[in-house]
Amino acid sequence: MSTDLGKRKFIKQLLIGGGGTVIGAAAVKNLLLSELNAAHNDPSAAAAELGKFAREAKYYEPNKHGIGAVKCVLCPHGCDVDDGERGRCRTRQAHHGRLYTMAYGNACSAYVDPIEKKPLNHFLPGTNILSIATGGCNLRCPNCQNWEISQSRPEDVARYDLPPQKVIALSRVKQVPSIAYTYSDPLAYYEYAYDTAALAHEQGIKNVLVTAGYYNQEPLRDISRYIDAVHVDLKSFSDYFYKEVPHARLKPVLDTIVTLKSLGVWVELIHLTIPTLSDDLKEIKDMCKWVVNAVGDDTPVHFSRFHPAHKMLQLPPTSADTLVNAHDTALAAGLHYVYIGNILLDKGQHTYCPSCKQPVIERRGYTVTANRLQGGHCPCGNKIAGVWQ
Amino acid sequence: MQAQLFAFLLGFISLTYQLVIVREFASFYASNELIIGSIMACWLLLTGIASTCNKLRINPLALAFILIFYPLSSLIALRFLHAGFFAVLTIDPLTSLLLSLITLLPFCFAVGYSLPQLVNAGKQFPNSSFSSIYAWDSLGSVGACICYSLLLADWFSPLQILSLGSIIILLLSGASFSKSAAYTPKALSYFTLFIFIIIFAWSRNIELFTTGLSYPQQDLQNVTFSQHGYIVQTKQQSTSSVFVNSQLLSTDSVSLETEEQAHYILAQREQVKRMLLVSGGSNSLFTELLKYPLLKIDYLESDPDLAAIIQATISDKYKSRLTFYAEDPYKFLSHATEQYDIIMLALPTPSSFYINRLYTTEFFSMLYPHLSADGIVALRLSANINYLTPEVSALISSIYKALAENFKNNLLLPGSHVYLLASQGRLNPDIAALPAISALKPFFLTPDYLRSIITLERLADLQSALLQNAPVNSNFSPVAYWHYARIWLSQFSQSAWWYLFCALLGGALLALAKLHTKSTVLAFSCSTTSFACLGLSLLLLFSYQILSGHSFADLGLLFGAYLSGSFCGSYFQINATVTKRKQILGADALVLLLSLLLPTIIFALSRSYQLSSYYILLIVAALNFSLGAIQAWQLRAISQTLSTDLREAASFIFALDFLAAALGAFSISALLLPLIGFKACAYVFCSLKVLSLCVLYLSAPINSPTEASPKRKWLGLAFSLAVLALLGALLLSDSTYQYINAFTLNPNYHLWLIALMIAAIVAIVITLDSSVELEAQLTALPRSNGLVIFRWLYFLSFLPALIYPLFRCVFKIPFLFCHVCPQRCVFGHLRPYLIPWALTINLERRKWCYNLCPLGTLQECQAKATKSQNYVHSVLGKFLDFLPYVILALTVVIYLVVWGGDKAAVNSLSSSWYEYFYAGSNDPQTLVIVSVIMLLIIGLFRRRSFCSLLCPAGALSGLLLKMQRLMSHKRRG
Ligand code: SF4
Ligand SMILES: [Zn+2]
Repeated sequence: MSTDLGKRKFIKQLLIGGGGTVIGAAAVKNLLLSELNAAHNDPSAAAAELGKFAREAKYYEPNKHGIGAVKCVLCPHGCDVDDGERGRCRTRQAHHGRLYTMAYGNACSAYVDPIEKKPLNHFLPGTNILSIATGGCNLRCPNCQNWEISQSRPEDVARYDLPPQKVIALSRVKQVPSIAYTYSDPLAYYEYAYDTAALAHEQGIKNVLVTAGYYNQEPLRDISRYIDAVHVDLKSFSDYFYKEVPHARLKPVLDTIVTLKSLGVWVELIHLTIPTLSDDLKEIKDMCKWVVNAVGDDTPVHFSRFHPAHKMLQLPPTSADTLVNAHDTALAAGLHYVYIGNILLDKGQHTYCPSCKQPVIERRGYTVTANRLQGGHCPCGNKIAGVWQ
Repeated sequence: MQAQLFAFLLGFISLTYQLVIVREFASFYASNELIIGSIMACWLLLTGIASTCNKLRINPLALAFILIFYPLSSLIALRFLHAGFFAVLTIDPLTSLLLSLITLLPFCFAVGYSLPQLVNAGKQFPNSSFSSIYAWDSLGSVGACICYSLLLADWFSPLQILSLGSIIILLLSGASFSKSAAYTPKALSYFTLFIFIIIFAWSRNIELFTTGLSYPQQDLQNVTFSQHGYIVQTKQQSTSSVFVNSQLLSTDSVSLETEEQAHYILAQREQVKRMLLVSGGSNSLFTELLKYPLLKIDYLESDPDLAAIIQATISDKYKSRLTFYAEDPYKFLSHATEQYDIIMLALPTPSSFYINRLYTTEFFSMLYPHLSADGIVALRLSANINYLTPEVSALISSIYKALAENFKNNLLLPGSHVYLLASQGRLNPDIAALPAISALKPFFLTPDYLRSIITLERLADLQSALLQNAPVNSNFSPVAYWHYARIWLSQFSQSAWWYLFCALLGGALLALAKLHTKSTVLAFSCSTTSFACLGLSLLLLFSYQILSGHSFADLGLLFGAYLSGSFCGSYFQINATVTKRKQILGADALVLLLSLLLPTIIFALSRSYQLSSYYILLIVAALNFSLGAIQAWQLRAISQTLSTDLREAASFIFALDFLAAALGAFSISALLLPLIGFKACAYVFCSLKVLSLCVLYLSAPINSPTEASPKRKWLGLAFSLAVLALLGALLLSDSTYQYINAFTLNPNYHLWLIALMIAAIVAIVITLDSSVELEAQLTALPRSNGLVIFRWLYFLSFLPALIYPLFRCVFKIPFLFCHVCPQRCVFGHLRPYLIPWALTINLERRKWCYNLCPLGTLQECQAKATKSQNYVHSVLGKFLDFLPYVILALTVVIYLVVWGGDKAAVNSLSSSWYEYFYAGSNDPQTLVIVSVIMLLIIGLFRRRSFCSLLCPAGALSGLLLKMQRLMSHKRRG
């Protein structure tokens, strides 16, 4: 290559290069704009463009920084979603300046489970519950048991076409008194869960959310109107854990629990006791103390055995001792109803009356073997907290 | 002699290091071949790239330092990195690949750099230095393989093994020092280093401590480095667990899974007397199993070390009813005489070929004679029964089919896993009703619970998830392994793979582009041989594993056989009397023959179970030996043909060899084998060799003047037509079209193309000398320039985008009317990017046209293949020169009419010409295809026929340039 370029030549080349870039950029922008202009202003028509299972999302704000971008305010992640992109939950997509959920009616799972398997011990014991889910989740737990569902986009795992009316109809066919929004976090399909719950509520069917509780306050309050029980996964009592493992924060989860309780929704908490990560007894004690103070000692707490799954394979299953210790710590902290799950143990199975200390509901695994409750009361007359009919 | 000794050591150290590192990574990932193959590929790739750096000068002391210390420290660093960044989480395989790249880089660099240098240093032995260095290097590797498999792997820990090489080098250099100047402080420092390394590597605490880093806050009870990998026993609180290659194998507490595993199966029969349990034994499982009164269990584990560990952990109260066997299941079944009521396979997931062979129809057929009349075979697969992904369904289907080939009744049961039961007798899905359930009263599996989980609906869903035409999982077509790999990979984000792949490919191409070659044909032949030989030998290794079980010792021996083959090959080639050309051709033919025969040989071996495994080992080793020998022989012959500058030739050959082998290792383990199975794999190599043999045979002998012979021209045309026909067939058939369509519309593909184009622009601006006349550049460019490779890459990348519209254009004229086309294809998508660039860059001569235009490149590559010349000066030619302006005018008119988006104008047009061109769908059109073929043929006589005859963008640029020239003439004049 000749090194003496010459002024004229240099300028010429500069012009060519610059011109090429500018024209190229203009072409790209043109492409984008022409697509945008083609957009309809009618959201339902735009939703139709995205497919049958898209609906406009309920909670979002415009975002000034990008063409067609929006900011989702459903959960504390508060994703800024660019046009055509998805939020962290993999279900909410920005499309011409609006946000759409892609998970509405395209359920991937619709089976009947015993309610004890959720687990909920103080909510219609011994009944079955219809569980529905779509793909997507706003958390990224490396130990997720349902990662096939939660870490996928809804359209990739969809199996059914189940709009809210059909869910209700299905629950009638299956003769179940309640519907659970579960497996992945119902937040992923908030709009779908919301409409279904509203419809079910109207028809006297109860609704249960099985969730990690990572919600913003307003949407949470909105949906709670129709919700009868919530099972909140309180993964740990350390913000560090929340940051490192599911990539979230602790505070919003605690707020969720308090809010739900204050709205009169039945709440049970589950703590998956992961060895070396969330099995610290002091932390568990602090957590139980907080539960007693913030939402009352009649809130059931379940300690569940961890088993290696998904990407967390190099940890052993939780030992029975750890679970028993956690159970005893919780009782000592003043909680009345403490359970142990997912392991064969005699402790932590039955519901004991806080007053006469006798078992009121006896269980074996996920089965209720004896129920001595009389209208929500122990035979001794003490009221047992819960939803019993 | 020193160079030879050093080559020997180099071979020894590098191979031990490789074996240890591969084993280490395998232990992170349950011995997944995907990972093993990728790491090997990384290794070869890096070494290959390094061996191209022959111009660099590096202090030999620094090299020695790397070779002595790096292996040890990198292993420790790797463990720290693994633990520090990722703690208890499985590393994303991509990250681990990057990790392996980083860890391997310095060492591979030192090795790859040293080889050509040694060749140069050993020059004093005339005419044989290349082969002698190569031979000694292989000999060192052979030594390493044999030591490793016979001695090291069983008796020494990884750190100890690595320290051996360091110690030898230290001793040698110490000896040479003591000869020259006795007892200087230098010698003393050597001695201290020596002691330090010994203490460091041979202290078991360091080994345990660093291994335990991956199991934080658990008490490490024991680490065993067994045949199958790392077995780690830990204790946390009161739980003791056994991990094999980072997968939990057994623990104490009974859970829902344990109960399902026992009662779903054992409750099926009124009386169970004898049972065979293959793998997966634990106290909790035996607690449940031995609740059945008559039961005696034979427990079979293929790894003796693991069997011993499990035996030690089992509580004494069970032992009276248990018998332990440590043997490969195939072998055990071939001599066992017992009849079992239940055979339960509690195996790990089929994450490797080795485990997959226990899920195959061949294995199930061996189980059959060992079952009592209505005995049951049972296994389980981990799956989320609330939602079966398509991959999981495929996995279950392939194994279910394998069972169904051998047994009359098959049953799928839902639970925390999916359970597969098979028997000649009756199988009952209604577990709740079985008498054993009410008698034994399991904790979780109460009748109520069972009834709510095993519902008719779930059973039907499981049944309907089975794919009707799923292929059967068999030993040599490991379908289940492949599906499992996909399931496993789907846990991780995959978009980054694409970029990594591009980066690696780019690196390899860059390395190749640096090489100057006299003969592409020889390079092609050499690299395909390396590719095929390594691939075939991997095929052999895997087949051996399938046939006679997994053992590091045997694998090392087989690898050793391959390498001793390469030693002999390069050693004996020196005395060969046949001409070089014949040698090279002969080697090609032999590889062809071997790849053709291989499937038959393996098939024959797999049918002969009586054959002692020693014979199998012998046969496979002999095959491996011959592969190595052929490959080395040819390599040597090629190096002699090419040699002028020794170091350059050596680095060229080494690089080609390593790079092709890298590709072979990766594609076999990660892609070809799981996708198309053993047989087809061998045939892929076969056809590759057919191709190289043909090319080699037809090519002129090197150094004779190359001229485009008519034979060559027509062959080239036939070749282009064949490529076109292949692509065309793929595009025309609706089943494959779907995939290609999806691929070409993938934004990642577009991004890649645009990135490529930007890179090309930069490269062109840097490399092209604008003072040389255009015509001269045009003809000179493709020669001796690093851009040649780039051009082919460019060509290949754009090929789908270019060929697509030829067969599936909505308009009858591809490339031209994209702006009026309502149905964008890939080219239509790209056009807004291409045209403006083209016009501006063409302002300074038609640089775009000659270097960047995908269409131009397509034709240039065709011209290369057919060696066509430019026949410009003819009357017809002069007339044809006018054609592009006609087309340009037409395009401009149509463009202007449609540009405004004026619907009415379009509608008025549609009555006439628009209607004719607009087909409305992407269906193929004969007219287009015929004209394409015509253009190809015209291309034989007129280089770049499209550019000069049809392309409107080119015509426009040409016009502009003409005007420029006119203006400057005027100014001057
Ligand atoms: S709901 Fe989804 S899109 Fe909205 S903020 Fe949360 S993760 Fe982001
Ligand atoms: Zn009471």
